[in-house]
Amino acid sequence: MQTAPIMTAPPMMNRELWQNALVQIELGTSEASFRTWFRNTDISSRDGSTVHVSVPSKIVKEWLVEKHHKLILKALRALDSTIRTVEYTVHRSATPVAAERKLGKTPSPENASFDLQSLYIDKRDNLNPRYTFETFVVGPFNQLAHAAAKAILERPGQTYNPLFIYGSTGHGKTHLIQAVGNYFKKAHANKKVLYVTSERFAVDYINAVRAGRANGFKDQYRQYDVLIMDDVQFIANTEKTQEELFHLFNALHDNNKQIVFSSDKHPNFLPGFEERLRGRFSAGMIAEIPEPDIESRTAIIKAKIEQHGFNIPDDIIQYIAESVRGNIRELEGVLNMIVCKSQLKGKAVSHADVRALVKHNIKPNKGVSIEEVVRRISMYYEIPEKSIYEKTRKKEVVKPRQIIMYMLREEFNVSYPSIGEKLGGRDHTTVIHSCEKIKHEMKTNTSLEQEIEHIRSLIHS
Amino acid sequence: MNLTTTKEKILSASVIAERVVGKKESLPILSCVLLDAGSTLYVRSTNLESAIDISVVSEIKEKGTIAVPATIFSQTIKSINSDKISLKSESGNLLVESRGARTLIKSIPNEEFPILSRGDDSKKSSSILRLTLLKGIQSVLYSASRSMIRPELGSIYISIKKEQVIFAATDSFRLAERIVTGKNSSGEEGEFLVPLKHAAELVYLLDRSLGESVKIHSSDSQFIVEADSARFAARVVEGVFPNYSEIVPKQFTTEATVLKNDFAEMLRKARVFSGNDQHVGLHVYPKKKIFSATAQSPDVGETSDSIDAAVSGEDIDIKFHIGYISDCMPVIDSDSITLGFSGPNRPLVIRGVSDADFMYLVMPLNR
Repeated sequence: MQTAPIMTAPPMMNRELWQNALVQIELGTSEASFRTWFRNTDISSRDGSTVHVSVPSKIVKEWLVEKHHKLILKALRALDSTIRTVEYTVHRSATPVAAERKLGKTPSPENASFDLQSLYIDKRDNLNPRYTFETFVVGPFNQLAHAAAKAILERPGQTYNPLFIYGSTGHGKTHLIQAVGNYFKKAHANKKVLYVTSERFAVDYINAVRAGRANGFKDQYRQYDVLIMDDVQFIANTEKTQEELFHLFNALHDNNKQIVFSSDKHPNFLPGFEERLRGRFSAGMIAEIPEPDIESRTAIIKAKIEQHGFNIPDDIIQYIAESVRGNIRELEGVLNMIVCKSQLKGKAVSHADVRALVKHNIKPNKGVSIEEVVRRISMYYEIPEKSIYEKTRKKEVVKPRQIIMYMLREEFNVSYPSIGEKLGGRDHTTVIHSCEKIKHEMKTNTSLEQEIEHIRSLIHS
Repeated sequence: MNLTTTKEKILSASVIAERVVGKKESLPILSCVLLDAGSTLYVRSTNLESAIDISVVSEIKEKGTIAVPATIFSQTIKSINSDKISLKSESGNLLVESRGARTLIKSIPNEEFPILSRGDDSKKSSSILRLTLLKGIQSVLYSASRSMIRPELGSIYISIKKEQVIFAATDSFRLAERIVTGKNSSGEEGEFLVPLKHAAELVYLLDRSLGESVKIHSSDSQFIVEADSARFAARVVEGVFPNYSEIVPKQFTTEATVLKNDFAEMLRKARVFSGNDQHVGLHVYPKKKIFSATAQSPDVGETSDSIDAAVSGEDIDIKFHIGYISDCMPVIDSDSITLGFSGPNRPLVIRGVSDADFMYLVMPLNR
């Protein structure tokens, strides 16, 4: 996800606008001057009536302001009369062609190189500078989470504290929360930000306790102005670590320090967490990043391929968006493969190629055995697996059993009679009744619906 | 315009300005120097990414501005024998007069010459010893990547702190670093990534300046250096320079100390035989007290060479790109150097025995 937000201003629109404006501008200047001053310029963003034009250097900026401002404004206004002002900013990324020079000794391909990639992560705060808001694709599915994240940056520690982002793997949680950290770091140089995974936090804590520096550990974590903890679900069932997190939370929260969590589940459904911690997770703002809808998937694919400087026909994009569901990471993988394949072949990929690639690389709805489903669901409800198969009619067993039947039917299309047979030789009408009951109840009972949703992700994980 | 100045002053300004002019630009004005005589004479040039502005002491009789092609102007000045030079505009062209010589250079309309604003210099400036800056950049310049595909690798990293100035550059195959400690700078602390091209222009300027210290400040994505009467501005790039301290080996399995000149000579000889590949094999056998280099190519032949060295540790045979090693030799301020190996596929560390500020890291060839 490496392009500008698609929601606020589609990059293509800005580009088109600028391309059309350039045609006008070209007519009003000499060719040499046009080529010199308008090379490597673009519209970087647009908010309302202000257009931000990015230019390669300060010298160019001053020239445009002094000499061509009227022309530029006129050309832009001719295309869009709502534009009132034009601002110029120097973009700080390198101009791609400028410094390219041929060198006598080119590095031989067999020369080993430093592993620099891993060094870009800032050791002080663990933030990876690659994750920024600029590269975060916003669609209807993650709009809420994105807005919440933006909101806490305005008034950190006050608007929503803590911010709790949850969603399945590969939906962009880490990207979003790291973007918060990176943005904050840039905006406030003197404030301290820390990004930490819950697992790392637990390991740190254990090490500190073992070395007898538990107090040092407390002080160390309490110094941060923004604490971002990724994947909190991993410290489930760790009593002492959770207690430590609880105290840390209180200390930071009382001092209006911003806290951001991410997890794969809603706090209420996080198993193995103490009630008081769960309550605190829910105290601020909870935002879900659900599965991206098809439009967002299409937008992400488009953004991705544009970044590769690549072109794929719309029908193929549509096909990929339809067939690769859910996980954005998987989506990226498939795209990379398509790009790589077409570079190898030296021509555009055909529909059939894409079909084959997608088929081979997407994990099918993998077969889970009925026993496995029973095991996982009974674990979720913390009842002995055996009891499902027994004739017992205890309330705490009946509901999970009905849910198991429902899941087997809905998710795996197992026939009613064989469900009944597998679950302790029940009649198929019993199974039908159970499925109907759950289905019916889900319509009115939202908490049940959420439970089912979590069980579903549990089974498919 | 009508003014007189000395050859020395105007020549030095024009050769420095010539370095910064735009090459292959579509606007002819960018290959020019602008002579701007107001209350003082300014010689200016720019390639749109960097710009220089040098004031030249002169006696101005009549104000004016004129732009002439940089190369022609500096060539003309260079060839003049007398001390005093007078510059006049004559029907729009530039007349250069000195004892017995009269040259008329065709000028180019200067309305299109870029605006080089001086900006607000007061904020965020620091001052640094000129030689520290010059030597620091020179020590690492060659290690930067020639490509700007990854801007942080195509740039020189300069970090100015109160007691320490760090220069570093890497193209991911080798890395050079010079850390100058002590009181070298004052004022604001800062970090910059200066693109290789502009760092080279800056070296050229610093090398020809005289003052003891220069002023550095940054504003609006520009990096500005003031040395003597010149003001050099270049764009800096955004990026994070890799936190390279992680890849520097802490311990060595094999160490060798050799005389720098011996080693450089050995590499020079090996280069002749290394052919197009430019590969050199280093062989260090501490038990047999051998330090040798071999190179061969099917077209030229082969060579093997040993030099005196103090060696310790385990035996090692390792291959390098010859240029990557020899590049750092001229910038090491020490008669003898130590080579620290930490096994195959691990970087070699080169340091000067009496030059603790400098460190060079180079990756071997994959086997």
